[in-house]
Amino acid sequence: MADQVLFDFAVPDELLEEVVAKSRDPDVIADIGVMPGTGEGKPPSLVGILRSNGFAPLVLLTAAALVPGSFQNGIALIGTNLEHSFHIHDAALGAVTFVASVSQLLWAVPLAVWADRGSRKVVAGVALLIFSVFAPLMGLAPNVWAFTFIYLVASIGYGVNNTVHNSYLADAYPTEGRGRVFSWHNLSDPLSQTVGILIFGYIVTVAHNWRWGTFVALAGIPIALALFTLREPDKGQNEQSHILKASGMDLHSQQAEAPRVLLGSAVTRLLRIRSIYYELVAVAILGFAGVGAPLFGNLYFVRRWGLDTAQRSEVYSIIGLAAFLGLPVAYVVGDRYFRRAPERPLVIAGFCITAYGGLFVASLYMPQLWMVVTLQFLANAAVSPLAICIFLTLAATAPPEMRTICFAMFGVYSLVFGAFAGGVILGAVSDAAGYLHGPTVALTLIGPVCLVGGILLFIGSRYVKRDITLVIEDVLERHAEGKRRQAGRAVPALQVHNLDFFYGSNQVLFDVNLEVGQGEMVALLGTNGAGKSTLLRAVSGLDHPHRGVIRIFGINCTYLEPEQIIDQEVALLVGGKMTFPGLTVRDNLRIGGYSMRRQGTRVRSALDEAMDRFPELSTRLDQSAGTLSGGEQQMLALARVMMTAPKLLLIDELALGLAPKAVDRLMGIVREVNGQGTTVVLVEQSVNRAMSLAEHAFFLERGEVRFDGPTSGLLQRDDLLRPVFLGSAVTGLG
Amino acid sequence: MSVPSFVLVNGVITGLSYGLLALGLVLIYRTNRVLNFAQGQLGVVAAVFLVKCYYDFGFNYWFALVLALALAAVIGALSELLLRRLFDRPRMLVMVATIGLSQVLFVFTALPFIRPKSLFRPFPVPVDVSFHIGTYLFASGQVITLVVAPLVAIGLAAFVKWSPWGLAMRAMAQNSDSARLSGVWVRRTSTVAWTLAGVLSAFTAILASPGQTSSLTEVLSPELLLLALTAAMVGAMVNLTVAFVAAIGIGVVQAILVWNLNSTAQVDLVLFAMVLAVLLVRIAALRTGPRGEERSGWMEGSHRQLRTDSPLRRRVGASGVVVAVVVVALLPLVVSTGRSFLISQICIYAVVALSLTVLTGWAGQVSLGQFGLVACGALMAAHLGASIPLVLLMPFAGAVTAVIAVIVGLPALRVRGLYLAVSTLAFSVWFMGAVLATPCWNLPLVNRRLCTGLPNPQSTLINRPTFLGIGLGSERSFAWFSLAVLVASVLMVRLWRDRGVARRLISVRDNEVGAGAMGIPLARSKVLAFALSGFMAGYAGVCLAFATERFSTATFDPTFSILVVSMVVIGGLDSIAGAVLGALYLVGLPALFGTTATIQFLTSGLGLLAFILYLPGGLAELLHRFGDLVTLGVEQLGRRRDAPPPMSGRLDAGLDPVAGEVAG
Repeated sequence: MADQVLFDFAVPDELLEEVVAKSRDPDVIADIGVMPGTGEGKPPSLVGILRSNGFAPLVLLTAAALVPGSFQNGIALIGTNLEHSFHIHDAALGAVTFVASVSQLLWAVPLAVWADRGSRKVVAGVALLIFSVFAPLMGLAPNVWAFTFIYLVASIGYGVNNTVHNSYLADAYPTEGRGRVFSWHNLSDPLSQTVGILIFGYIVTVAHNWRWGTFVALAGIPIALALFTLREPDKGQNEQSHILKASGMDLHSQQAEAPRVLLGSAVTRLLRIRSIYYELVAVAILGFAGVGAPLFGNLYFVRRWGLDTAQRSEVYSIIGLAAFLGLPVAYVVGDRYFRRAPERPLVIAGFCITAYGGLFVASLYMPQLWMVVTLQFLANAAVSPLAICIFLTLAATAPPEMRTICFAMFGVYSLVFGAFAGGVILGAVSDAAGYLHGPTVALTLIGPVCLVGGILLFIGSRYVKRDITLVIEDVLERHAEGKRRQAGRAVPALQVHNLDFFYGSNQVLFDVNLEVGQGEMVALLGTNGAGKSTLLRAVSGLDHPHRGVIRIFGINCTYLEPEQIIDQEVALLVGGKMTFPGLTVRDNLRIGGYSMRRQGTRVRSALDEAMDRFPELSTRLDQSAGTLSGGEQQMLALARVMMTAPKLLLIDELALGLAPKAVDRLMGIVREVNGQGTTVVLVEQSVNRAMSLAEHAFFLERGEVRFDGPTSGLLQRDDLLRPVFLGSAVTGLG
Repeated sequence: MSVPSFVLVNGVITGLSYGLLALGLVLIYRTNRVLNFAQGQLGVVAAVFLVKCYYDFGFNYWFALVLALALAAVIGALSELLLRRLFDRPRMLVMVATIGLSQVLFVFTALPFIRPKSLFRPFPVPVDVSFHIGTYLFASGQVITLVVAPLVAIGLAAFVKWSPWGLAMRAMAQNSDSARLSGVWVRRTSTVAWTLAGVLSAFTAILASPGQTSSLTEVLSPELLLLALTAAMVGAMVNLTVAFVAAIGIGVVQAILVWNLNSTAQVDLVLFAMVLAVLLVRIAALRTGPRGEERSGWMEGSHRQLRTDSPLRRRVGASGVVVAVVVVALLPLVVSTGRSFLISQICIYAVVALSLTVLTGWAGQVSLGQFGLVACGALMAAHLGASIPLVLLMPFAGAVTAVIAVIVGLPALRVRGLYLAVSTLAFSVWFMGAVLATPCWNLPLVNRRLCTGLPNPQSTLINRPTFLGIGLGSERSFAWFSLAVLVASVLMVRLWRDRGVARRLISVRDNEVGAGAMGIPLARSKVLAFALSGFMAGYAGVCLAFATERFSTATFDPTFSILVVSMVVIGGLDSIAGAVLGALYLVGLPALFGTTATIQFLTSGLGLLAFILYLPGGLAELLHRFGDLVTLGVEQLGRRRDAPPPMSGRLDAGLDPVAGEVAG
C-alpha cells in the first residue's frame, strides 16, 4: 500500500509538470513581436523618427560630445609645446595624459550613478559646463601640476559621452531608430579627430601660442545651457509602450516609485544578465587589443620600419580615417538586423572583432609598408561598427533604470581590466622577444585574443532574446502591479514573482511565486535544501536573485541591500546565527538599534521594551553573548530583531536546537507580535507547529512552490508530506 | 642593569611608533579579521608625498601635511575596495594579499608625482623644538612624536568608543550577515576602518621619519612588524588601549636591553622569549573570539571539479608529470651552467613550498617561519657536511629540524590560525638575527663554548660532497640531484596523501571537535604535521646550502619565509602540483626574465594580488582545468576513432602532440 502512494507521488500531476517544464526551460522567450525594436519589414526612416521626436536632443548631444573630444585630441597635438612651456620630458607628458584618461574613467562611474537616479540631461549639461569652464583655465596654468589638476577636473566632460548621452538617446528616440541615432552621435568621435583637431590647430597656429587653443572649450557653454532646456524622457518609456501595446494592454497604469539601487547591487544585477556578462568579458579582453595596438604599434613602426614621429603620425592619421567607413555600415545594418533578429548585431560585432584580429596580425608580417598600412586600415574599418553593435545590444538588454551604469561598465571593463592586463602582458612578451621583433611578437597575440573576444560575443548573442524577455517580464510585472494599485486592492506585505536563484551554476530556486497579505502569519515548509532559507535571504537582501521581482509592501526591493531593506521595516531572524558571541548582551542590543542610531529616544524606548519582554536578559547585560544558553541566545536574537518594530518579520527556524519549553515561549511572543499587526513568515520543520501557528502555508520542494493554500489543506496533500515527514506527522495529526 | 632616564624616554618614543602601528593592526583585525601586513606601507606613500609637497612644490608644512593625510586616507579606502572581495575567503589568502598590497604600495613611492627629486634632504618638521637629558639630545622629530602620538591614539580610542562605527566594526567582524540585517553598512564600515588605518599609518610614518636618513621608502621590516604584532596580541587583537600601552612597554624594554646588552643576538633572544611569553599568557584572551575565521571556508576559494576518478584523466595527469620530469631532466644537458643552477634552485624551493603545503594546506597551521627551518638544515650542512655523507646527512638534518619544528609548533597545540603566524615569524627573525649570526657562544653555568651559528655569518663557504659516489660539483649534476630530491619529495608527499595522513590533518583543520570525537588524536596530528613539514624543510635546507655553496645570514632572511607562503598560495593552497608551480612562478620567472621591470612587477605584489583576486584556486587550478581539457580532447578523439569509418592510423599520430602539450 505504502509503496503505491510513494509511487503515485513520483509522478506529479500534469499541471505541475507543465509549470516545472516551463520554468526550467532556458529557452522560454517572449514572442518576437513583443520585443522592442523588432518588427516586420524595414525600420521607419530616421528623418521621420527625428521629426516626431525632435532634432534637438541628437544634434545637441552630438555637439556636446564633439567639443570635449576635439579638445582632448587638440591637447595631444600640442604635446611638444607643453613640454617646452613646462620644461618636462616625454615621460611626464605621458603621465599627464595617463592621469587624464584615468580620471575620465573615475568620473564616468559616479556620473552614471547620478544619471540613473536623476535627470540625465542635467548630468550631461553639468558635466559639459564644468568642462567648458575649467578647460580654458588650463591655458592659464602656471606649471604642469596646476595644468594636470585642472585637466583632471575638466576631464569630467569626457566621462558622459558614451554613458549618459547613450542612455538619454536610448529613451529619447524609439527603439526602431536606436542604431542610427547612436551612429550619428558616435560620428562625433571621428569628427573630433579631424575637423575638431583642425580648428584647434588653426587657432594655435594663428595665435602662435598653444594656450589660446584651450579656449575652444568655451564653445561648450552654450551647448551645455541648451542641454538644460531639453525634455527628460522617462527611463524605459519606449520599451514600455512598445511591450504594452504589443501585448494588447492598456498604456496607463500607476507606477510605483523606483528604488535607489546602490552601484554595487546594480553591477551585480547587470553581470547576471548573461548576454551583458559575455559582452563585458569580451570587451575586457578587447581592451587588451584596444590599448596594446596603438601602444606597441608605435614601437612596431619604429623598430620594424624605422619611421620617425612625423611619419608615424601620418600613418596613424590614414589608419584613423577608417573609422568613417565603419560608421555608415553600423548605421545601415544595425537597426535593420536588430529588427529581424535582436541577437544579430552582436553576431556582427563578433565577426567585426575576429576580422580585425586576422587583418591586424596579417598586416604585421607584410613585406611592404603600404601593405601594412592598407591592412591596418581595413582592420580598423572592420572594427569600427563594433561599439554601435554592442551599445545597441546593451541598451536593449539592460534594465532601463541601470542603463547608464551599464554603459559606464563598458568603459571600465575595456580600460581597467583589458588595458591594464594588456599593457603589462604585452610589455612582458615584447621585452622577452627581443628589441627588434618584440613588438611584432607581442602584437601577434592580439589575433588569438580577438578570436576569443569574437567567440564570447557569439556565445553572448545566444542569450540576447532571453535577456530581452527578462526586460519584458519586468515591464509586465510593473504594469500588473500598477493596475492592482489603481484598482485600489490591498497591497500585500510580501510579493515574490518568478524568482530564480543560483549558487554558482547550481539552480536553487525555480520560478518561485508567492504572496503574503498584510498582518498574516504564514508558514514556509519544505525538505532540507528546498530553498526556504535562500528565499528568505533573497527577500532580506543578503543575496540577490537572478530573475524575478521581490516587492515588500508594494515597493520593488529586489536589488536592495539588507542595510536598505531594514528601512522598509523588514527583519530577518536566522535561528542560531544571529548573535555576536564576543559582544556583551548590551552591545548586541545596541546593534539591534543601529539603524535608529540617530533617534536616541527611540533606541532607548526600544531597549526598555526589549527588557520588558525578556526580563532574563536585563540581568545579563554585561555578560558576553557567547556565554548564554542556546535558548537565551535565540531570545536575545529575537529581542534584537524586534527593536526596530518590523512590519514584516521573517523567521528562519526559530526552534533550531531549542528545548520545547523555550520554543513555546518564543512562539508565544511571535504570535503576540503578529497579533499587533506584524506580518510573519515562518520557516518551520514541524508541520504540527506550523498548523498551530499559521493559517496559510507554502510548501517548497527542490526550489519550487508545490503547495500554496490554507495550512489545513496541506494535510490533505499526503503526496507532499508523506515522503518528507515519513508519515508520522501526518498520521499524528490526522 | 643601569637605566638612565634618557634611555627610558628614548624607549618610550620608539614604543610610541610601535604603538601607532599596533593600533592600525588592531583596528583592521577587529574589523576584518585580517592581519594587515600592509599596515606600515599604507602611510609610507603619504610620508614620501609630504616630502615632495614640502620641498618640490614648496607648500606650507601644514598644507602639505593635510594633503599627505588625505592621500593616505584615499590609499586606505582604495586598498579596502581592492581587497573587499576577499574578505569572506580564507584568512591566509587575505593575509598574503596584504603582503602583495604592501609591495604594490612600495612601487607607488617610486611614481614620479610622489617621489621627491632628492631623497637625501632631512624630513620636514613643522616646529623646531629639542631638549637634552644629560648629553643626549632629543631632536624635534622625537619631541613631536612624544606629543602627537598619544593624541592620535586617544583620538582613535575615542572614535572607536563613542562613535557607532566602533561597535559596528566589532559586530561585523563576528557575524557579518547578522550585522547587515541590523542595518550596519558592513562595506562602508570596513572602508572607514581602512581609511582610518591609512591615516594612522601616515602618522606612524611621518612621525618616525625625521631623523632617519634615507630609508624612507623601505618596506616594513619583519622585525618591526613582529614587535607591533606582539603589542597587538597583548591587547588580544581587539583592545586598542592595551595594545598601545604594551607597545610602549616593548619599546622601553628594547631600549633598556640595547643599552645593557652588548650583542644584538641577546636582545633578539629576549624579544623572542617575550613574544612566546605573551602568546602563552594571552592565549586565554586570544581564544575567546569566534573560531569561525580559523576554520571556515578554507577551500571556498577554489571551485575545482575534480575528474580524477576517471582512469583516463589519471593517465593524462600521470603522463603530463612524466613528460615534465623528462623535459626538466634533459634541460641541464642543453642549458648553460647558470640556468642549471636555476633548476636546482627552483627544485629546492619547490621542496620548501611542499613542506609548507603539508603544514598550511593540509594541517591549516600558518607558518611565517619556514625559512628558519630551512636555515636549520643549512646549519647542519655547514657544520657536518664535511664529516657525514650526504645520503645520511639529509635524513639526519631532517630529523633534527623536525624536532625543532615541533618545538616551534608547540604553541599550536593551544592556539590556531594567525597567532601561530606570529610565533613562527618570531622564530624566523630570531633564528636569523641571533642563532645564525652568532658563530659561538658560552653556555651559562657549565661554561662551555658551543658553536651553533654559521662559522662565518658574513660569508660561509662549504664544498659540495658526493652523493653515493656521484660527484655533485658541477651545476649539471647538482641540478639532477635536486630534481631527484624534488621527485622523491613529491612521491613521499603523495604517499602521505594516499595513506590518509593528509585526510587526518585536514579533518583536524576543518573540524577539530568533530575529528577528536571520531578518535583522531588531535595533539599528535598537529605535532605530526610540524614534524613532517620540518623534516622536509630540513633536508631542503641541506640541499640549499650545497646548492649555493657560499651563504650568509641574509640568505635566510625572514622575508624568504613570506616568499614561500606566497608560493604556496599562488600555486594553490593544498595542492602538491601547486607548490611546484608556485616555486616555478616566483623563483623561475624572475630569474629567467629578471632584467625586465614587467616581470618583476608581475611576480611581485601585483601579480600576487591579481592571482589571489581572480584565481583563488591558484596555478594548480589552471593546470587542472588544462588537464581536464586534454582529457576531454583525448576522449573525443577516442570516440571518433571508435566510430566508423576507421581512420585510426592518422588519429593515433594526432594523439602524440596532445600528450606533449601537458608538459608545455
